Amino acid sequence: MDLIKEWQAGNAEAFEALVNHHQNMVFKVACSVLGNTQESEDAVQEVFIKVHQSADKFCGEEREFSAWLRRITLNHCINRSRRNGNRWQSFEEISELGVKLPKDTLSISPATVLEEDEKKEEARKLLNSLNDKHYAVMVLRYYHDLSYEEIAQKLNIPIGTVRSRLSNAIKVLQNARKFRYQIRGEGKYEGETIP
Amino acid sequence: MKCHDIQQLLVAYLDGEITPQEKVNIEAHIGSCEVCENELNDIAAEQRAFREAVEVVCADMTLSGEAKAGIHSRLPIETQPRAGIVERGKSKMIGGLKMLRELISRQPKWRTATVGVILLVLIVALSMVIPSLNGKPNVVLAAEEIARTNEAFTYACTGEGKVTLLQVVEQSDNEATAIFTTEKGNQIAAHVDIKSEEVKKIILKFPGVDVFLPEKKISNPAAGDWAYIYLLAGEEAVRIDGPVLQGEEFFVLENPGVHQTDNGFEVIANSHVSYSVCIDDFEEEIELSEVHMCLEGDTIESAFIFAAAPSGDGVAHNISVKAAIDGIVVDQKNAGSIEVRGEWNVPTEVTISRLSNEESIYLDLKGGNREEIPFMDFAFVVDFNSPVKDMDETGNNTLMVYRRFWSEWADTIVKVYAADRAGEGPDVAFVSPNDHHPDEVAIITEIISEDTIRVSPASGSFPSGSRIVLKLHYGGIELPEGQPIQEGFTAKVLTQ
Repeated sequence: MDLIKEWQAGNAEAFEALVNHHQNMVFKVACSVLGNTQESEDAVQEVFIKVHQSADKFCGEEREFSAWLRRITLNHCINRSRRNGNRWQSFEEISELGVKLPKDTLSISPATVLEEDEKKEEARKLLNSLNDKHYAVMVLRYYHDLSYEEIAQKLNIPIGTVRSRLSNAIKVLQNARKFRYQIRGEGKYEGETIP
Repeated sequence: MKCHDIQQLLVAYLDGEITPQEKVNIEAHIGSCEVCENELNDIAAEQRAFREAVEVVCADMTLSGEAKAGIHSRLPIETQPRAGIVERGKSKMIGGLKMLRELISRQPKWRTATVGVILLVLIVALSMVIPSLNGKPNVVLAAEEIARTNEAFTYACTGEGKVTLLQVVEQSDNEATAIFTTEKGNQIAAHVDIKSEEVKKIILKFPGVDVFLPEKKISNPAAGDWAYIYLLAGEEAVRIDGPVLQGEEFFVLENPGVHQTDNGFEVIANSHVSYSVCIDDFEEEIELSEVHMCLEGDTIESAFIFAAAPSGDGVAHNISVKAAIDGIVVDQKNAGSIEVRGEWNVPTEVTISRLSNEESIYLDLKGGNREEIPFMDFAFVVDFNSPVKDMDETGNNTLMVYRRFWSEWADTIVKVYAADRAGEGPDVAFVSPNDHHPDEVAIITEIISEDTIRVSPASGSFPSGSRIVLKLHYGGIELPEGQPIQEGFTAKVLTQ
């Protein structure tokens, strides 16, 4: 009997095995939506509690369990984010002095570590340049590969709004990049100066 | 289709979310337009960069061993008691409010010693179970009684003298906010759940300035992705989220204080926790009027209310707030810049009320007065039938739209509608450029300069009494969710 069937038959150890196998995936999905370690950890716990209570609702094969779990996680985190006031992302914990170094830092040269830190900081700045609404459509489209129609359903907004928000979000990212170039003096930006 | 129209569709084109006809138009255009082809490549690069950024940041976040253990300890949920949270929360809340009282009592000393009004407010969003209430006749009585019988609320009122119910604002069927005034002239609000009879949040408000959230005061997207906030001197303040700390043990106040420094402010919460507010070229344009600490689980969130100094005139550049534990910075929040102005030449909030055929439009000003504003006095201007002579070579029936302080036109959508039979103008709305109305007049838009576009009818003249609808979206100006964009849309515009 596979793990799914054992879990559905009430075997607690089977469910623990499923949790162990999938918890990192669930956590990554939560992080992508909530952007906050603490909230994502809470969401992981809530998702597995929900899944545990929904054993009879899953009727697929074991290989389909991961996709089902991913969908549940995504929906749960979207709802959780709404409940918490649309806090789609707050990557502040990876601030300048709070960047976590890789576990195998000792085997990496200082220059590589610095480069990695800069890359993370750049990524964090990019994500934080979007407001909650823009981030929501962007992450669902370009990280979770949802169609415009699926995004519209999940966020309860018209498809036209999905379209315009994506377009505007890209524009914001382009401008943010130009602005960073400007303040670093890395390139010429033709926009107006700050009054 | 022109470049502007094509560029509006490029994101959807790359996502495969356009109609076959749009696809044909775009591909035909891109084949012969280097500008749009470059824009297409830029957009594709931004899409890839965003995905990579999410991957990079998420890869750096790991599920802690404690959290993993927590999952197992909470399964099956039926056998895992969740008790203890409320009790612990209650204890924390009372502790926090005790400290709050201590802090308020020191207010006059700080007021003279450092900056304007300095208060440290602990907003505790923990549920409080109170004795049951039955048979309340209406939401006002229920909300008042729930608040008044709440232990934490009673404590918050200590020293405030007589507390009088000012009003109850219904938030939903089950939730309401009861706002009380005190003899000291402060306000205390209790957010209550009528059904469960719990007090969800207690907020102390202090009069003096209007406090806004940043999105209400942001303008000038030319400042890039940074918030650039405008405040009226002596009258307005903005609430900005600050850095976050981990560890509920730090949620205490011990000899707290706020001090002005050469480059901002220093906030002491207790012997371990401090916040430093750094401002480039600080010239006392703003005051730190309140600091909020809010315990959410094991996380201490913070918020800072900056008020425009009464005599302030200038910009507090690049404000950043750092949180430190034992002197070591653990989190930082960059808040952007705040510009303080002594007075505005015209009100900052206007509503496009009615177009005239003269060189002006009517505006409903904040406060309810109607005023006719000359067309050059504000940020976007509509001039119907009487074009600006030195800007227009095509004669009458050209619409000139001006936009100042914005660096690009990409997100400005202009539509013109013919008047209906009653002469009132059609009830039009659109949420995207592709939404069309039967009374829509075909137009051609042309960017004249960085701050001007010209709108002309595709053929003939604009019908008499035409109505223009502007959709402005850029950075801080977010259109109201789900509301039609039509005459009457209010946007905050920066005036000269």
